[in-house]
Amino acid sequence: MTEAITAYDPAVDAPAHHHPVYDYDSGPPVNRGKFAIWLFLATEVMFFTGLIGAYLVIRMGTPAWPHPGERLAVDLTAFNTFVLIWSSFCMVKGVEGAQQRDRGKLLKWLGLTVFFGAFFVSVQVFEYFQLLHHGSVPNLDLFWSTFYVMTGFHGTHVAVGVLWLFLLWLGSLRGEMDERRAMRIELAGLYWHFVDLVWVLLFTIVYLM
Amino acid sequence: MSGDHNTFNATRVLILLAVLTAVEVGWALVHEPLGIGIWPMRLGLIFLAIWKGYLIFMFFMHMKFEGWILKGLMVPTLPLMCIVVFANMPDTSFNDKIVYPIGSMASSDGAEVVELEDVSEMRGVLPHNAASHEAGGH
Repeated sequence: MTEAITAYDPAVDAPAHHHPVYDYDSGPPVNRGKFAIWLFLATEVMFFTGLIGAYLVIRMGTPAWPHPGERLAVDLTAFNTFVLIWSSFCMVKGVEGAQQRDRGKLLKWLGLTVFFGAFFVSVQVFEYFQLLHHGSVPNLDLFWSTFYVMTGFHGTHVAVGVLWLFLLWLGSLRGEMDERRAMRIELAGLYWHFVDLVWVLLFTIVYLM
Repeated sequence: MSGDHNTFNATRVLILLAVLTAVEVGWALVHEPLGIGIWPMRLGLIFLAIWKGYLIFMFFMHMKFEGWILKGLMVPTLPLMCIVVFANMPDTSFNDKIVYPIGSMASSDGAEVVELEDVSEMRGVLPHNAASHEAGGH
């Protein structure tokens, strides 16, 4: 082993960027970015499962739980749910545009995704202001504590997604429309759809049940 | 891996998602007038939510068109999700043995543990709920 190390001459053996070069790919036969984002999303699934699981346990263990319709604006949030689903559709079209190397299509649909995502966050912030104005603070009772934690963490994810997509939109204004860009858009799209998926479940559990 | 074979009609998926959301909201609203019990209503809502989640996961997220590696990557999350939820169940089962049982919280001065129902009495009914309470709401 020692012999092998001493026999290694960086000037001769190491490539210019000082990283070893293998004649095989050590990773799984799948795009690395996609593998990484799915791995990340798996951890996000566990994160939201922890929140939703805790909510279900708390709710089942509580003798009296108020009906969400009494305390929350279900009609406004139902409309907001449509907005987020629509933004997911726009994202699908945006990814399609990137894969077809069609800058105009990409900018249009990605821009719409950002707009509707920002709209969703704005409505949520408006809802929070209304609730807080009426004294429904997070530490009032378990209903509000769980409500703010779950919707707050989801809202933060949406806000991060909006920022991420906006930066990609800015980057797409110029530069090459290549495979690399298409993959970046697709990875951000996966995150965006995941956020939509979580909301579909949260809306049902928190607002309707 | 999604390649060119990931052809699906996104508009159809969008319409189906919108219809399912409308049905979901309607189901939650009409269960009382129609005399549908709370558990059939909840099970219906869960079914619809899972259906919508499935559509997003399989089509919008392209999982239907991915290879076995990415599909396999997500498989362990399902049992792990069950473990996380059921690992919390003892908290409910042994509720009476916990220091601060679920459904209660510490009073504002932290001196005593008060039941959740008493908290609303202690702090007054919320302003935007007062009307529904006076009108004999839920």
